[in-house]
Amino acid sequence: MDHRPRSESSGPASILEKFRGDGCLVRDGHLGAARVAVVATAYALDRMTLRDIDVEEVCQILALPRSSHGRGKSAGRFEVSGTIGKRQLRIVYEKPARGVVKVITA
Amino acid sequence: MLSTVQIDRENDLAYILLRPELQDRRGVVSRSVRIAEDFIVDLDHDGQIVGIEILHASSRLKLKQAGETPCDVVAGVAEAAEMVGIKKPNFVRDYANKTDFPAPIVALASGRLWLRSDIEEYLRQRSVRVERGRPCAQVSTEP
Repeated sequence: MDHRPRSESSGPASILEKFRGDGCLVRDGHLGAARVAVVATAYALDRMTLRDIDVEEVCQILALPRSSHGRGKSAGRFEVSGTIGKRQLRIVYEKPARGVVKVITA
Repeated sequence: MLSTVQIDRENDLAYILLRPELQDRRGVVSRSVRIAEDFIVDLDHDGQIVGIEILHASSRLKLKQAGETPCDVVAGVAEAAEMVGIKKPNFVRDYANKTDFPAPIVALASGRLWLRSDIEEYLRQRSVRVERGRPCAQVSTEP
C-alpha cells in the first residue's frame, strides 16, 4: 500500500515547485481529515518566527475538524483557530489548487 | 523608531515592524491581539508593541500609491498635522481629539499613529462637505 501523502503522489507538482521557487516552505499535512500539501509563504514564515509558531503547530491547527474552519472576509480565504498548549493560534489560508493549502499568515 | 514595512502584495498583507532590532528574532511576540477586523497588534513579554499586521492591506493602505517605507503608510502627530496643514498643538486640539477624526491604529507612550490613508480619506470627505456647504453664487448686497 502506498503511504505517501496524496500531495506527493498525485498533487499539482508544478504549483508546489513554483511555491518552493518563491521561497515558500512546502510540507505534507492535513486539512481536516484530508491529506494536503501545506505551503507556508515567506511572509507567513516571518510572522511565525516572531510569534514562535512552528510549522508542526500550524499543521495541527489545519488538521482540526472542518467544522472549526470558517470563511475569511475575502473570497477564497479561510481561517481556523485552535489552542496549542495555552496559546490560541489563528491561521489564515487559501486553497490555490486541489490538495494544496497555502498559509498566508499565522 | 519606525523601521520596516513588509508587504505581501500577492496575499494583500502588510506588517509594520516597529522595533527593527527584533527582526528575525524567534519568539519575541508573546501575544497577538486583534484590535479590529484587519488589524493585529503583536506584543512582547512586557506588553510593548513589536509590530502591527494589516490584513486586506491594499484597501487599508492604498498600497498602489504608497511606497514601502513606514512613513508612506503611517503618520504620527507631526506628520498628521502637516497633512492637515496646521501646527502640532492645533492639530491635537482641533483634530486628533475630535470624534469624527479617524481613530489611530495604535496609541504608544510616544504618541498616536494613524494610517495616512485614513487621514487622506478624512480630508477628502471634509473637503466634499465644505464644498457642499459653500454658497453657489455670491449675492451682492450693494444697491
